[in-house]
Amino acid sequence: MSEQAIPEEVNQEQANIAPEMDERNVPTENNGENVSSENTEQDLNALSNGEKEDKQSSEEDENKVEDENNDDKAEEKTEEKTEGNETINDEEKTTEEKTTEEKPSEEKVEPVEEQKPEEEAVKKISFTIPRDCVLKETEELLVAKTFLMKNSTKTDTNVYDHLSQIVMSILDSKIDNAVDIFETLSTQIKKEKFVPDSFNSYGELRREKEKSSELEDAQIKMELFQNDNEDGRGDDGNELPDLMSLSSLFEWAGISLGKEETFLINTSMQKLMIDKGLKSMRFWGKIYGTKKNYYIVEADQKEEDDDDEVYGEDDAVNPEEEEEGFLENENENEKENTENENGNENENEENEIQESQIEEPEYPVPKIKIKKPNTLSKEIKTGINKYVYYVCNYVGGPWYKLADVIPEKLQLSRKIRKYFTGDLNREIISYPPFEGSEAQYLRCQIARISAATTICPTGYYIFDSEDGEPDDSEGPQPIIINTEFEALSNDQLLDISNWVHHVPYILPQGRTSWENPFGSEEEEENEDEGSDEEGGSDEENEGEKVEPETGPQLLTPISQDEENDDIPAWVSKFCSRTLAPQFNPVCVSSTRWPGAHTVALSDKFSSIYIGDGMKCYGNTYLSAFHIPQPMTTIMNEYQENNEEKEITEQIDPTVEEETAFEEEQAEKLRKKEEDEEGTEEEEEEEEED
Amino acid sequence: MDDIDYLSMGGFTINYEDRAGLNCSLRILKDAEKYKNVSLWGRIIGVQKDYFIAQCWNDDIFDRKYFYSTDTITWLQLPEITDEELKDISEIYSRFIGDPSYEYQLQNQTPQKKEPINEEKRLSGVIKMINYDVEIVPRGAYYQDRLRNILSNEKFKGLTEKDMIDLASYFHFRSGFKLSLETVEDRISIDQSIDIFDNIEKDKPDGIWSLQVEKGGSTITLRSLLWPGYFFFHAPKTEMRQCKYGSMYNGYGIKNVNLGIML
Repeated sequence: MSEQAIPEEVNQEQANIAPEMDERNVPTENNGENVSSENTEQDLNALSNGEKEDKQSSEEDENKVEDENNDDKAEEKTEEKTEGNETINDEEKTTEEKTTEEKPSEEKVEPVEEQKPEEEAVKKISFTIPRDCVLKETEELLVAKTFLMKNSTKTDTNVYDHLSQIVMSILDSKIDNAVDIFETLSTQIKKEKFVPDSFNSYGELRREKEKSSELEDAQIKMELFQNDNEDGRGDDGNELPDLMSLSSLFEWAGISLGKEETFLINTSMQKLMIDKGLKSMRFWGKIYGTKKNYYIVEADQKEEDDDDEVYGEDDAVNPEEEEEGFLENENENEKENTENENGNENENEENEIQESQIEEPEYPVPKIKIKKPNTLSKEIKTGINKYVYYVCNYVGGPWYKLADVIPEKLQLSRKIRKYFTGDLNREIISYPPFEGSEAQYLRCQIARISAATTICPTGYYIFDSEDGEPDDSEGPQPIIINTEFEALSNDQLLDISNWVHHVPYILPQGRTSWENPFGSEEEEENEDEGSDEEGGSDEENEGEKVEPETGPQLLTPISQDEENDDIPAWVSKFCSRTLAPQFNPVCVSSTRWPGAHTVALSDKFSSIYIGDGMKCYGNTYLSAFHIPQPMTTIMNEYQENNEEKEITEQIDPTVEEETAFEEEQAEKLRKKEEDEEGTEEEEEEEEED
Repeated sequence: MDDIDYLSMGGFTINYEDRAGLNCSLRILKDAEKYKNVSLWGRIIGVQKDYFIAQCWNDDIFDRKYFYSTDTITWLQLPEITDEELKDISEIYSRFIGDPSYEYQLQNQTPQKKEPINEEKRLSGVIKMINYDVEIVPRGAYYQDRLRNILSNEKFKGLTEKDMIDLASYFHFRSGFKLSLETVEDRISIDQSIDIFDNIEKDKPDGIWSLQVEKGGSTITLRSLLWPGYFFFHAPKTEMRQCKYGSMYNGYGIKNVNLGIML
C-alpha cells in the first residue's frame, strides 16, 4: 500500500530522530519499536487528531518531563514533533490494523492500546509527576523570561533588556549584516548605558574632586552671609565704613577690587568687628604677594585682647642678655646682637657675652667704655601703634592680627626691598639681615605707608587742646575730629595744600616720638621732645650726646612734603573730564608710594593702598636701582710698627740649640760658684786669722 | 572690552567715563585708519595725565600699530623707533609725565645730533619692550597652519585644571620661536601646531611671574614682576561661562630692575 510505503521512507528519513524518540519514550522494547514507527509516520501527517488527544498529551507530558531543561523553542519543536507523531501514530494504528500480521497487528492494536495505559502506568511509576505541577507552555516561557530579566549585580542591567535594546537599535538603524557586527553593537550599547550617578561608578567621585576648591571657596563665602545681625545692631559706637559707596568713589579713580569682592570684604569686616569687639575699622588696602595677597584692615581696639594669636611676635627668649631690666620686651635683646650698625658696639656686646659666660676670669677683662644703645621700646597704643592691623589672604578667609611695630625692625625695613609672598611666617632673608618674619616686615611697611600717605582735608582734624600743655605729652599731640568741619568744595580739594597728614611722622629711629636710646629710666620721662617741637638738646648724664630726631609736625599740609626729585610728591586730579565739579571726585595720589590714593567728593573722602608695598625712591636713573647697604669693612690685620719693634717675630730655637745654650749657662754658673766659693773661703780664712 | 570685570582682580579698573569714551573712539579709530582689528592694549599712568594705548592690526598679529590718547577721544599714532633709541629708552627710569612732547635728559648725553627722546618715543619704546618681555597667551589660543601663519583659535576652550597652574602652559606672544631639542624634551606631548612660542616657565629669574588662583580656583591671574602692572587673566570654559583670557598693562611703564633683590 502506498501509505505503507511512505511511512517506510519516512522511517528512513526520520532515522535520526528515532533514537531521540527512543530516549524519550520509556516503554518496553516492543512498544518502542511500535512507537518509533508510529512516531515516524505521524511526522508526515501534520494534521492533529482529536481522537487521541489524551494519548498525545500524555506523550507530550512524557516529552516535557524529559525535556525540562531544554529551551522554549526546542520544547515547542519537540511538542510539535510529538504531536505530529501522535497523529501518525493513530493512523499507523489504523493502517496497521489492516496489515498482514494478524496477531501482531491485533496485538499491536491491543498492545498499542494497552501500551498507552501501560505507558501511562509506567510513567506514573517512573516519574511520579502529576500533570498539574508541570508548567504549561506559556508559564514556562514566563519563567525563562524572568530569569533573563534578572539584573546583574555588577552593572544593574540584564540580558533581556540588553538583547531587546540591541534588537531595537538594529531595527532603528536598519544596519545591514547586523549579525556580523552583533558583538560590536552589543559593546556599544553597553557603553552608552554607563550611568555616572550609579553608586559604584567612579565618575561621581572624580567630579567632586575637581570642583572641590571652587566649592570650598563658595562655601566659605556663604558663611560670610550667615551673620547674626542681632549683636551688630546693639553696638552703637562702632564705626564701620560704608565700603560700597566708597568703592564707587574709588572706581572713578580707576582703582577697584571688583564690586562683588568689595562687598564680601565688607561683610567679612563686619564679622571681624563683632568677633573682636573693635571700636572702629577701616579697609586699609591690598598688598600683592607673589603667591598670595593680603587684604588689610586697620582697626581701633576697645580693650586689650590678649587671647589673639599675634603674628610677628618674637617668642624666643635669650637668657644671657637679661641685663636691661627696664626694657619691656626682653626679646629685643637678641636683636641687639645682630642689628647694631655700629661695629664697635657689636664687639663689645660679644665681650659682654663672654663676660657672663666666663665665671672666673683668669685675667682682667677690659672695661667697656663705649656705651651701647639700649633697645628702643615699642610705642604701645599710641603713635605708630595706635591702630591694630588685621590681614587675611583671601576674602572670607581667617583674619590674622599683626604684632606692633618694633622700632629696630622699622629702621631695617627702610633698608631692604623685598617682595611679599603671602606667607606671614616666612623669614625674610636679606642684607642687612632683617631677621624677622614676613608679618613683621608687613607691619613695618604698613606703618610707613600709613604715616606717609594717610591724609585728610584741612580742618577735618584739629589739635585737642584739652589734655594739658604740649610740653608734657610724651607722644604726638592728640587730634580729634573737628565737629565744625565744613566740607571743602571740590575745587579746593584739588589744591594739595588743602590736604594735611593726620598720622604722625615716623622718625628715623622708628618711632613717632623721640626716645633716647642711651638714656636711663629717669630720662625717659624727661623726654619732652615730641615730634611737635623743633629740636632742643637734651642733656644726657652719660654716654654720647645724641641729637633727638624730629620730623614734620602733625597736620602739616602735604604740599610741603619733600619732592620726589623733580616731580612733586603728591599729584591731584579730577577723576572725570566732563562731569561738573560738584560731582567730580578728586583723586590725590602719592608718587613716593605708588598705589596710595585718596579719593574725595565733597564731604566724603577715603584713603586706600593697592600695590606691592614698595616705595619709590626717586625719579632719576640712579634712584631706580636699590642700592643695598654696603657690607661692613673687613677687619685688618695687626699693623706691625717696625720702628719701635714692640713685638717682633723670632724663630724658636731648636732643641739642640736649647740644650747647647743651657749647657753654656750651666758652665758659666759653675764657674761663678767656684769663684765665689774661692772668695768665700779666702774670706773665711782671713776672718779666722 | 567686556571682560573689564576680570581686571579688577588686578586691582584696577577703567572708570565708566573712560569706558564709554573708549568704546566709541576705538570704533571710530578702526574705521578711520581702516584696520581690521582694534583693541585696548593698556594704560600707562603718568604724573599729570594717563595714556591709553590702543593697538591695531590687520592680519599679521605681530605687525601692530599703536595709538595713544590722553583723553579717550583723540588718538595719535606712536612713532616707530630705531634700535638705538630703544637702547636709550631702556635707560630711562623716571615717571611718565603726561605730556607727549616732554623731552628726557639722558644719562650719557652724547653730543651727536640725535634727536632727543621725547615722551612719545618713550611710549613707543616701552610698549615694544613690554610686548617682548611679558605679553603672554595661553597654550592653544593660537595655532599655526601649514603655511606657518599664526591664527587665533576660535574653538579655544581654555586650559585644563592641571595646566592652568602650570607656568609652562603660557607662552610669550612674540615671534622668533625655534623648535629645539630642549623644548621637545621639556614637554612630553608637544604639538607642533600649538607649541609655537616660548613658554614662560623658563623666564629668569625664578618667580618673575606671580601666578595666583582666584575665585576659588576658576580663574588664574598672572602678574609680571618685571614690568609691574602687566596683568593677565584666564578663565577656562565651564558649563556656566565661556572661555576667557586677556591681558592689559596698567602701570607706570617702568621696568623693575631690582627684581633680583626683591625676590
